[in-house]
Amino acid sequence: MNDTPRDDIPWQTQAAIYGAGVFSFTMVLISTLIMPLLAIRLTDSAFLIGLIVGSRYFLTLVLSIHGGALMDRLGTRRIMIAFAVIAVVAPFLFPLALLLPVATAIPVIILLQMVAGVSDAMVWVGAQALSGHVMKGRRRYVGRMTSIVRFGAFFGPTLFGLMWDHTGIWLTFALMGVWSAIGLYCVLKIPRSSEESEIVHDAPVRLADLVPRIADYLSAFRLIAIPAVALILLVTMVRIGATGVQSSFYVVFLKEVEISAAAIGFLIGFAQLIASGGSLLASPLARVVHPHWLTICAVFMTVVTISITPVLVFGAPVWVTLFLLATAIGLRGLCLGISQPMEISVLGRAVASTEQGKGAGLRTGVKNNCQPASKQCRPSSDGCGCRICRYS
Amino acid sequence: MGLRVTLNQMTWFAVPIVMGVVAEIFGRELSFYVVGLTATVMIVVLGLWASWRNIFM
Repeated sequence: MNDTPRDDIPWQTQAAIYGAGVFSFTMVLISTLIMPLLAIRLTDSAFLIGLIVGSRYFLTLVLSIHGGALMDRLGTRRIMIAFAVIAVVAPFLFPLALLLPVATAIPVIILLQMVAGVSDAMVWVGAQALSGHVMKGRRRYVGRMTSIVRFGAFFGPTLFGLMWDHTGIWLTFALMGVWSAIGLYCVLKIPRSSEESEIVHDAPVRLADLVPRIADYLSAFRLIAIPAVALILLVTMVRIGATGVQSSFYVVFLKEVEISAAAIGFLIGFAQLIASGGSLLASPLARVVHPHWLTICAVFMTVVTISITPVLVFGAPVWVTLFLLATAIGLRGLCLGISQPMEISVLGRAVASTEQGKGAGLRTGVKNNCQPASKQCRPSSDGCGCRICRYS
Repeated sequence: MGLRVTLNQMTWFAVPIVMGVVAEIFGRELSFYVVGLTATVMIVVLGLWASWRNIFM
């Protein structure tokens, strides 16, 4: 592979990392569209729909800190490959589960959701980590990755919404498998870094490495004693909560009022696209409004804009309804884009200014992926790398 | 960051389930308002708490 004078990272390597990032991250978004659509085909119970959708994040929750530590110990690329293989197989199992009686299918789908969710998330976390390791966290490369990921995030849900409307469950999930397979191909094309070669060579896989370490969790949770950290974490939870509504009952509600899956997919993608602009606005706005207040106001708006969804669907012509929904979700995307870099920046500063944050608690958790995130997400320098920090 | 990841994932996991329960009780349309109002109150309380504790200084 040849280096060019301007780009000292070969384009093949860049393409592989961008590819791994875009195909894993878009799968996260695609699943927020497809899984609620699948759930309402299976059951009318709102609780079960919520359980099916929410279960996708259960294993990611359990392994969120441990996953980063696992990458440190066993090598990011190796972990990515293992999860990428699972991410390829899992979508093909969903339609098979539908062949079972409903009472059996729902628990099986919930289990599959857990496995598929953690797989996509780990590949995405790994792509972020490698963009820091292999590309040395340079803003230019992370900026490119962010642009490409956003581009995919806009088109991915719309494409799969169209698939859902016009083909059916089998073909939609088969394409999800193919989508993840392209992601796996990209992961396999990522060259091993010298650092990782040593890790892989010296560290065979042991059971002890795979078991979560309580110390990793305890050291991370100690940070909540810092008021600014607690504030931002709680504000982030509220924001994510609103996004949780968008990725579950927003889709369910719109589908029930006869909005097509393609249109819902477009709305989800549109919010992602507008979020890019919001990230770029974060820095100039932070010069006018205090970052803490800016974060709180932006998160407040992300909550309001998703909560008013039923108000916007009042029996007007479809194009009016879609226009109103697009305006609301666009505004929501804008505020999301503003709030995310602010959260990471404020959190980073709060932790950096405190001795506690310099301890092992922060380092061990998700060391690999938080390095590029924290470097790239300071709003004063660059708002661009922020959407990719969803799992950071 | 690891802490942020964990809490974020906890929210990702819990919110659809909680909203499902709320929707079972109040109906799907009202559940948007109930969850939205709860989140709005939380964010306002957090803002007031932050001002009171002078976290922004």
